[in-house]
Amino acid sequence: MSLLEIKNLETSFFTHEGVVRAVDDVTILIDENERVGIVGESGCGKSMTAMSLMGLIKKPGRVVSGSITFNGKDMLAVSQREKSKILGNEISMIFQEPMTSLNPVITVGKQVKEAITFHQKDISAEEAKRRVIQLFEEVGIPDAAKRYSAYPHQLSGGLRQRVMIAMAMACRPKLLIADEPTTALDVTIEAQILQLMKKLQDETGMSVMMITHNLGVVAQFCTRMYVMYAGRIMESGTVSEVFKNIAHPYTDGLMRSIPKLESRERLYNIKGLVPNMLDLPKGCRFCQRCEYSKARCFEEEPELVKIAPGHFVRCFLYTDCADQKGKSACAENGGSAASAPNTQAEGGTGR
Amino acid sequence: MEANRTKEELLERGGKKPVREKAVSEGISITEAGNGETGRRPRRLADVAVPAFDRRAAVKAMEEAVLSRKEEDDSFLAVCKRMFRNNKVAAASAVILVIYVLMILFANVIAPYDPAVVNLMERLQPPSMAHICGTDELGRDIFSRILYGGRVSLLVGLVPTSISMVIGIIMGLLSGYIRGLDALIMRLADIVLAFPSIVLAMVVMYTLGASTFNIFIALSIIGWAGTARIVRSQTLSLREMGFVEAARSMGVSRTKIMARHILPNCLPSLIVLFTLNIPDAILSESNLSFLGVGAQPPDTSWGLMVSQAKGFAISSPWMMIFPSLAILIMVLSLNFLGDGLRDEIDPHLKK
Repeated sequence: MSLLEIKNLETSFFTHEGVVRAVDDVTILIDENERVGIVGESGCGKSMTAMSLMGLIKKPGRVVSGSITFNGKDMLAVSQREKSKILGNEISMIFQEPMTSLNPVITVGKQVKEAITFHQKDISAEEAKRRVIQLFEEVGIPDAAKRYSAYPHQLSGGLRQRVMIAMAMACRPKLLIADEPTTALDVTIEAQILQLMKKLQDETGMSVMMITHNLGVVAQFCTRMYVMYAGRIMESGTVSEVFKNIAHPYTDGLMRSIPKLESRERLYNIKGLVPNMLDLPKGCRFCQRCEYSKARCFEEEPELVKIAPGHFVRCFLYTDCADQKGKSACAENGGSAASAPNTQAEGGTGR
Repeated sequence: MEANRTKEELLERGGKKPVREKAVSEGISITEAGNGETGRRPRRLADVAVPAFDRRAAVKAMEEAVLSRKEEDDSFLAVCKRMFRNNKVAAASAVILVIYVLMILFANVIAPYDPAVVNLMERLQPPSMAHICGTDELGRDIFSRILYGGRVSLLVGLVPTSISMVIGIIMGLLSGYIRGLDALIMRLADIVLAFPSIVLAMVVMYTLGASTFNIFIALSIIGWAGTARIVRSQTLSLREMGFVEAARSMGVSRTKIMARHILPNCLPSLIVLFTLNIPDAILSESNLSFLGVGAQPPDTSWGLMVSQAKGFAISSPWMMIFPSLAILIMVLSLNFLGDGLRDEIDPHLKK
């Protein structure tokens, strides 16, 4: 059994204008000792999936249906007391904004210490302090002992994010949720933080759920990935498989939107915007922006189908061959077919 | 300093690498500071001349030093101590306030005259050696009356303000953080604020009867609403901050988030509010006294003395000047003290 099983999760916000399904029928499995990436553009529901798992959805939103099982416990049914034992202890989270995620009036050492003493009541103050300094060293904070009594505003963004990581790692969680941990940081620090997280993951054997909009981060860090769009999972699979055989036109679009040094072409962009979550298209959620969309895409929504071992796609390009005319992309044709948009991308840029 | 002497010794004895030795001696000095030993251990060369500079040991020593150093104490006493050291104006204000309190407490010893004895022969005397603050229209010694009146004014300034602020803080936190209580508490506050405060206080005083204790109740009832509103507005913005969400993701309970994360961030403005509320309370009391429901003759208060002096402001200005000065100096001292405390508490303002 997986460490974390999110099955058919639906989280909706009941606003005055109507119901927004921020997370719609999302199934995510994370095994022990696994680094899973969740990719998608802003507002596609990646953070909301994590928030649902932590039980942090604020009104007017709530989890409508589905199940979340962590380590054999039903996270949607556990009592508040039970949950506060799990959160921060077995599941912990790193937030996007290291600037605001630390309390400005408490020293960083104390904040991390509280994370420890909150879950381990029997630990002595002296011992906890020693642990904090050790943690600071682990996450690569120079002069760890000195930084213990620093206030957040005295630290740089990179250092603050390291403090956040130290806090998240304080109780040796089984699952670490990283919600765009490097978005607010510059590239050199981003690389350092990713390396650090990889190292910590190797050493402790925890699982990491990496929420990001950056495919580079996924390629570097993750072993498996889910691509989300407008609340739905569009494609999933191991990172090596998905990057080799990009199947979904949306993933393909994301890939082609990465600037490349060797190419002199104008940078590709996916046309249009994420659909209004109050007024989703009837068929496939990506149909309005998709280069391959057909009449059927506007009418009904495709299912998530398996196109290769461990590679799932939600697109009609792979479900029925009947509609395919020029393209050979078809589930039955296996791996070679799965690369339809991919080959198109390479050929298409020349046009 | 021990360290310098050690270094000189080393140089005298022909130390080969002064820089390295300096580091060693510093390392040792840190160890010493950490252990709190100021003994003269490293006198002999054998103790000092380590063959190679052991960086690890030095770092370790530094950590030990930090570990053994007491954490920056956030207790009220420690904050006051730091303030005395850093802020001379605030320290002077504190001393003035202590003198005030002592003078008022020992009014019966210090006061040269009985504050209630009427002596029409000496009415409206300007300040002189016999009456250092002059006399009022009934020939009572103003200095003595200020001392005795201070008993009422000081109590009325401090006690109801403290009570109303505690109520206001609790109400504001609950109303801002727990959305279900918001409407209820804020409507209560609206009711209190809708009445002219003096009318509300008079209603309370007439119902309960005129006494100092009842003034406390009346002023507490009218005072909490303003504080509650300020705390609520700050809570509303703070609850959306990243660190509150981070705390929630760590499983911290609502009560603890309010007490540990939100309240300390409100403190700077609360201290300022406190110093502004005290003169307000003193003046409200004088209004009540003027209307006959406050301090009852022969008792008096500063506010009452000022309002009684109104008719003599031109002919005998000392009647008004001295009680006003008493209020002014106390309020100013409280203000400076409040600023000093805020500077110590707010980490952004620390040097």
